[in-house]
Amino acid sequence: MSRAILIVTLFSIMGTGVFAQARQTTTPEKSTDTRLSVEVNVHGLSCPFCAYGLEKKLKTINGIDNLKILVDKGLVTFTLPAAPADTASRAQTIQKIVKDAGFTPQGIVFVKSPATPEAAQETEPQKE
Amino acid sequence: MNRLVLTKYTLTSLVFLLLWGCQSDTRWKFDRLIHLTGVAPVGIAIDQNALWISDVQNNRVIKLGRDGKIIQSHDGFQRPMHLAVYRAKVYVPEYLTDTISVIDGDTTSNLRLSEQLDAPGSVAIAENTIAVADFYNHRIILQHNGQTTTIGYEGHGPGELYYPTDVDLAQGMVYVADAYNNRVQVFDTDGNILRIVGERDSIQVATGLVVNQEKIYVTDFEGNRVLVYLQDSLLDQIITDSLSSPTDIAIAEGFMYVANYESKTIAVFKEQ
Repeated sequence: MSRAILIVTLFSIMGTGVFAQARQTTTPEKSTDTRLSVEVNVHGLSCPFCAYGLEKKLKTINGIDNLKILVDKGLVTFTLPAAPADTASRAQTIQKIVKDAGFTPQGIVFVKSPATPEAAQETEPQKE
Repeated sequence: MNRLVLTKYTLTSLVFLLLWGCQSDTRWKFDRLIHLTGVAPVGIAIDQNALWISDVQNNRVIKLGRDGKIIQSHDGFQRPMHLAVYRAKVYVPEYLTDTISVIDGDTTSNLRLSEQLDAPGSVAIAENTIAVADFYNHRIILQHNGQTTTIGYEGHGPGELYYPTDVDLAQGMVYVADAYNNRVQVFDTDGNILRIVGERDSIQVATGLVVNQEKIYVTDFEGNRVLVYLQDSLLDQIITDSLSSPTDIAIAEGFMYVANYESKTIAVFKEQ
């Protein structure tokens, strides 16, 4: 009887270990759920020196990730940590970086991940 | 009346002869296209029988045979731009890290510069001289015999630069692709402006250049052209065949190679 209890206990411990491992692998996915997706329309994004120059400047933003420069669409996309929640001041920072890189930002869209229509917020900066 | 017509005819003929006489004997004619699958070429340089290409999108520098086959691939660069080859070494400006890397056989090292760069777009090497196009600082860094000179500053006037993307050294002079001023500027090694090239030729972004003893070759990125100038700044030829967003030029042994960024090809022209 005591041997049976021991075997059950061992399986329970092993099961807990497997469960714990599964939880660990899902943790990073959970963290990406809380990121903010950003889309910036940029006028004049054509030559590689401009496009990758903008990439260089945007990479200075804390926590930026998944940065993509879509030259054909004049679009830049990236993700940021969800906090702080103040998108207005973040939009100002992005606008400044885009302008300092030599471009005119046409509009910035923030979308909380996972994307929902309600989460989208758009700012329309003044055109140069 | 007849005399007036005759005078006009004579004058027109004289102007034609003068212009014709100013042009060079050589012409570039389209030869073939080299297709580069999965390569976004920005810089191109020649080393003996090989072409070196900076593949900016894939953060690598590749060595091609003149038939277009990849011989070597050097990975891990951060947005490599206009290259230079000098004494079998390949100099690679890395846009994101503000450094110049040097490929020497199987090893890669960093070139030491005394000035801090912000997005180096190009490097040129000659005897004891290194020139770097410092894109976001709107200037050229020139290290000559260990001394550093900066050429230009942000602006649109003579001697001022606006996003320079390429630089070349020839005959003791510094040639700058003054990209968003849509022109080429020529300086001496003290930074004095000597002349401006192509200002009236409606260049739409002068992204790349190469200079030899006779001529100055400029890529017009948005205009899909290569403009060829004589050393006295006279326009000699405009090339448009098979060009799509050209970024850089290399010339050797009667052939000209133009990197087409958009079509991911190298357009080859033959001297006639």
